[in-house]
Amino acid sequence: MSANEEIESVFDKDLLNTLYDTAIAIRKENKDNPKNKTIFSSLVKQAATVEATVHIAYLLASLKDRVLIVNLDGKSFNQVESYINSKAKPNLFTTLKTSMFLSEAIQPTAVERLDVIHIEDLSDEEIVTKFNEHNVLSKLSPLTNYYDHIFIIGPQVDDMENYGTYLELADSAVTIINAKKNDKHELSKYLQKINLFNVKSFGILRKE
Amino acid sequence: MYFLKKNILNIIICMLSFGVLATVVNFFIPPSSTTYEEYYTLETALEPNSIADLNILLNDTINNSSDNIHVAELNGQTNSNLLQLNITTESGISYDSIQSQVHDILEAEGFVITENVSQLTYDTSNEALQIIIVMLGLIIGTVVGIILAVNNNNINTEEDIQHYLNERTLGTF
Repeated sequence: MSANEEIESVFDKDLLNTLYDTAIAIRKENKDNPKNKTIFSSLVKQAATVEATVHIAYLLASLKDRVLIVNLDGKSFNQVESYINSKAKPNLFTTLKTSMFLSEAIQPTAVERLDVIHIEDLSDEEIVTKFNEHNVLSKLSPLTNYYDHIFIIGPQVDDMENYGTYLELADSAVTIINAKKNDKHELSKYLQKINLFNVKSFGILRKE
Repeated sequence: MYFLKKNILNIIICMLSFGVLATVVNFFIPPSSTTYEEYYTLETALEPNSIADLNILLNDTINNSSDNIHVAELNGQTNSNLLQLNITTESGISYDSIQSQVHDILEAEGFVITENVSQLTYDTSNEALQIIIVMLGLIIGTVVGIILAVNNNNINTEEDIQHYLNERTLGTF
């Protein structure tokens, strides 16, 4: 089995077909707004968030777009790596501690044109402090010049008290919900919060 | 309108379920009254005024026990020794006690029963109460269905996402 075939086998073909239209919609939007950074988040289905983000990123990379995944959920490191196999260590804040440029934290993956940055697994308070300390937004924005798409994997919304820290990094959002068990009031509250941060919602992905 | 469109089926199912439950409950509702039709042969034939006299006696004694029903009534033809006794009971009236009283009256009036020819029993169901129970079941079912629908915060369909969140569905996986 060649390296390419090995990578392809990791991705679910049915899921790629399902997410193809979403990937094309994001591609079109980001072509019109090249500075877009898209956050993928979920209230209860974090594994599905990673699954959707990585598959959409893979689809776009297959279409010859350059994609950067910024994994801001330290707990999802292993799941993200199970797909893209960058062999990288979480190094976002470690890099920013010694460098002005976030680009130095970028790691190539086994998928061509798909790169990744992983955040370290820290507590909520530590993350908020470090975000403020290093002004991640100002360091992330220049990367839009080098990538067609920047996808941010946000941690599970329920787990975070101050989700604005993540939302302020993004310009657009894709929200993943549990198709069977969810709460319309909670979802509505979260979508209002997204609007509050001037983040454009692409829409909802339902995970069965 | 969307609320009704989304939940009407569940509300109807809930309403019908409670309706069925109420129908089951109706099987355990006692009848409003029971009529016992008994036929006796007498030792002597009935005289022209015997039945009228006996019924007057019954009205003065046994039939005073209920305002709603005619508890005991005797029928028979003059010169015949066949006597028909109808006893109607409702809640609180004992058939055995009424029958015994009628037999005592017949005995006191000089009639001797030689044989109990036949006995038939008819129940009159409590229709008004049964209808009320079914209606109540349907109303409670509807209310329960509406309460369940109001408390259901789940978003199940793409249509729900459009209506409640004003968002488009990108896909389901």
